[in-house]
Amino acid sequence: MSGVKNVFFVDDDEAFLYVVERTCKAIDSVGRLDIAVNGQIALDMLNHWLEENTPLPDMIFVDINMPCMDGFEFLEQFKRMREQTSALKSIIPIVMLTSSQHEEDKQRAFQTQVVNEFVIKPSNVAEMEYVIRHQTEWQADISNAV
Amino acid sequence: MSSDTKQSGKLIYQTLFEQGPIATLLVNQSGKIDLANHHAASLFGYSNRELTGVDLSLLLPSQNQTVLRDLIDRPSGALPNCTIETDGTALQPSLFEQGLAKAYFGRHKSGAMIPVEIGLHPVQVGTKTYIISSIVDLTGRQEIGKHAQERSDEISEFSYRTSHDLKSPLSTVGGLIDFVIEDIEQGNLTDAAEGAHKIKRITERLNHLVEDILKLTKADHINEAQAIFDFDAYLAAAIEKHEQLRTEYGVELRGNFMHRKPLMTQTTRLSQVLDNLVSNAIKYSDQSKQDRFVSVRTFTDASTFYIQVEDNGIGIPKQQHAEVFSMFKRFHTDALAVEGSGLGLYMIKKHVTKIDAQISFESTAEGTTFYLELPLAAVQAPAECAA
Repeated sequence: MSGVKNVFFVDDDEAFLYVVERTCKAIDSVGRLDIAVNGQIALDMLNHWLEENTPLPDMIFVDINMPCMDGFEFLEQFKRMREQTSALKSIIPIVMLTSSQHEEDKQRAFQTQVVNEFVIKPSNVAEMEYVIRHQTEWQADISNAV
Repeated sequence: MSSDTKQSGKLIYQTLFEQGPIATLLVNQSGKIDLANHHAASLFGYSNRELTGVDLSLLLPSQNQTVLRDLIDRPSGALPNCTIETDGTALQPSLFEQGLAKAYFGRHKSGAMIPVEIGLHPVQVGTKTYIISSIVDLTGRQEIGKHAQERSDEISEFSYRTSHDLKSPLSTVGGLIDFVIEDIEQGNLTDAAEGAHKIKRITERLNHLVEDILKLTKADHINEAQAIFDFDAYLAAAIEKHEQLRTEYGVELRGNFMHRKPLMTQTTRLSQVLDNLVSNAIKYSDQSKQDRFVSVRTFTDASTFYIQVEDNGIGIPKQQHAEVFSMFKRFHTDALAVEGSGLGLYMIKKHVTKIDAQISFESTAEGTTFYLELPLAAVQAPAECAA
C-alpha cells in the first residue's frame, strides 16, 4: 500500500453516496472524496481539475444508470479525453460499481478498455468498506507500478 | 357407375375445390392458370373468371418465375412437393413438412404485394402435368410475429431495468440500516434519524416504482367502453389529487377548455395520460420562476380534438428529446424527493396508442408543451357541448 488515495464516485443515488461518504470516513487509506451525480458532471469536474492543476483522483468508481449521461457514455468520453490529454496519460483505475448483474453490461464495460474492475454494489457497510479498501489499495497500487 | 353418380361425384370434387379453405390454383404446363378457386381469386382481388387462362406471373413476381417454370417443365415424376422461399430457391419437402417455409410475395390486383406461402404439388392427368398450387396468406402471421418480437424486446428491456431499479435501492437500504443501528448503539440519534429518513424516502420511491410497474402491466388490458370525457370534472379531480404535490412545488394547475365538440374516448386511459403529464410538469417545475403553472387546454376542428398540457418548468434537455417516450428514462439529476420511476412517459405512449391518439411535444428551457391529437369519430357529434 502506498499512502492515502483520492477517490471519485460518479453515481446519482443520493442515499448510496451518503453510505459511501460515511464508509470512506472510516477508511484511513481514503483521502479526498469527490462526488458527481452523472457522467457529464464528472467530465466537467475532471476538466476543471486539469485546468486548475488540482491533483486528480487516484481512482474512479462509476455507476451505469444515471440521467443526462450514463456510465457507458462517461467511459467513452473519458477514453477520448485521456487520449487527448497528456496529464491523463498515467492511468486512473476505473471501477464500475453497479447493481447490474448482467453479463452484457460487464462485457460492454470491459470493451471500453478503460475499466479495471466490474463490481456489484455492496448491500451492507462491511462489504462496502471491503470494496473501497480493496480497490483503493490494490488497484491504485497497480497503477502506480505501471 | 351411373351417370347420376358420376355427376354427383364431379359436383362434390368441384365444390371441394371451389369452396376449399385454402386458396388453390391449378396451373398447366404453359404456366397458365386453368382453375382458380374462390379463396385464390379473393386473395388476389380478382374474380375466378378473370384468373382463368392468365399467366401465373400475373400473381407472382417475375424474379421467381424461373423456379416455378423449372418445376413445371420437369418430368412429372421428378417433381417434389415443395414450397418457394423468398430468394426463389425451392425448399425440400422435408423442410416444408417441418413448416420451415418462409414468406414469398404475391401481387394483388391493386399492385400491393402480399406475403404468402406457396405449396406446389404436381399431378398427372392423362398425358398432361399440372401443378396444384396452394397459397396461404401470411399477412396476419407476419403481423403477429412482428408484434410478438416487439413484446419480447419490451419484456427484455423491462426485466433488465426493473431488476436493476428494484435491486439498487435495496442494496443502499442494507448499508443505511447498518449505519442506523451503529448510530443508535452509539447514541447518535440525530444521525440515526437522518438515516431512517433516507430509508423512508427510498421505500417511498420503491413503492412508487412498483405501483407504476403494476399500472404498466395493466395498461395493455384496460378494456372499457368509450364515454364522453368531462374536462371540468377531470380538472377539479386533478386539482384535488395533486394538491400535496402542487403545494410542495408551488405550482398552479389551470384549465382552459375551448372545445366545441365532445370527446368520446376511453376515459380511464386519457385520465392516466393527463395525470402523468400534469404530475411530471409539477415535479419538474422551475423553482427560479415566480409564477409556476401547468395549463391544460382543449380545442377542436372538424375532425380532431386537441389537448395541450403546457408548463413553464425546467424543460427536457434537447439531447434527450429522442428518448422521451422510452422506458426508464429520467432526464434530470436534481429531481427531488418524489423521484420518478422513469415509466410515466412510456406508459403515456402506450395509452395514447390504445386510444388512437397522437402525441408530440416541444420543450425549451422556458417550459414544455405536450400536444395530444385525438380523432373525432363521425358518429360522436350529437351536438355542440358547452365549452
